[in-house]
Amino acid sequence: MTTSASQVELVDQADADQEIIAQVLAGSKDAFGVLIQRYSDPLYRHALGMTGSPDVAEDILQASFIKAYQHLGEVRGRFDAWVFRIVANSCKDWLKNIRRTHVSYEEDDQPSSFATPEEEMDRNELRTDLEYALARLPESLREAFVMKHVEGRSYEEMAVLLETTVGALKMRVHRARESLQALLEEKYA
Amino acid sequence: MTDETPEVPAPEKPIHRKTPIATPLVQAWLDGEETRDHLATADEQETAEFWSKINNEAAQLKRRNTPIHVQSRILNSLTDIPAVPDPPPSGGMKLSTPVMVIGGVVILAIGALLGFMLVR
Repeated sequence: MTTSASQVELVDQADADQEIIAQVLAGSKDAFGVLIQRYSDPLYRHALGMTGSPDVAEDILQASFIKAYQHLGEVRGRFDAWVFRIVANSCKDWLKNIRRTHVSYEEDDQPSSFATPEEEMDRNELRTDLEYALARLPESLREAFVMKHVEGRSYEEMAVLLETTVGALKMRVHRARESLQALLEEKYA
Repeated sequence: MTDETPEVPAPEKPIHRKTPIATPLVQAWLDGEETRDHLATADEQETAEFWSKINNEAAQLKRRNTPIHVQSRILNSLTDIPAVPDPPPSGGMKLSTPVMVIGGVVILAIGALLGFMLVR
């Protein structure tokens, strides 16, 4: 079996993370900034995709990194997978809470992210509908869809982060697509 | 013998699908395992067109980065937190130094007493 370049890259990255963690544990608080810079974007996108709210995504990201910092001595294995699980669990907790309190996505303030005024209205509408449809999916399907389509992760990477198999994740993503299509097609087909 | 009527499936609500359901080939294309050229039928092309719209929207989200102020906000918030603690003890109670010293002395005394009794 050959080792792919991406696998080598992952090992190098994990080693580099371990060095930074050692620095932070030795008292260098600033070194933690390197980890924040390295992983905040994919984690932010995950939180944004899962919650649909930039404000909530920011809060989840901040709370997750603080938690990671406070428990850094407990990291075993890859830091990125460990911190991802903190963020993913926070998102699931938030979703459970928001469903319990019946707050819909439409009630969330979502600033426009589109710079082109001609397409802004249509795209905002599609985005709102997509988020609404995503919100109606079971958490596991939503999570799989967001990781594949929004974060652009490979199934192999998803399997490592979610500690499951590629086959199971393909099934989840396929089911999520079918459900989303059923929810959206009346409007966008 | 009972007069059983054949089991008739409950009439389903008509599904007005405007877009054909994603076939395994379309799913494979969405997974990046096939090129769109391999989608041969009109139905598959139609489904692919639908998903292109969704993927365009997803691509917008893919380009979203953490707002700059958030990274500095996180770093700043760490200043209020004391130094990174050691991993918390798994269960057991925490003993202070004096308690440990007294405990050590007691264990030594018991050991000495036992030793003395054995020698006698």
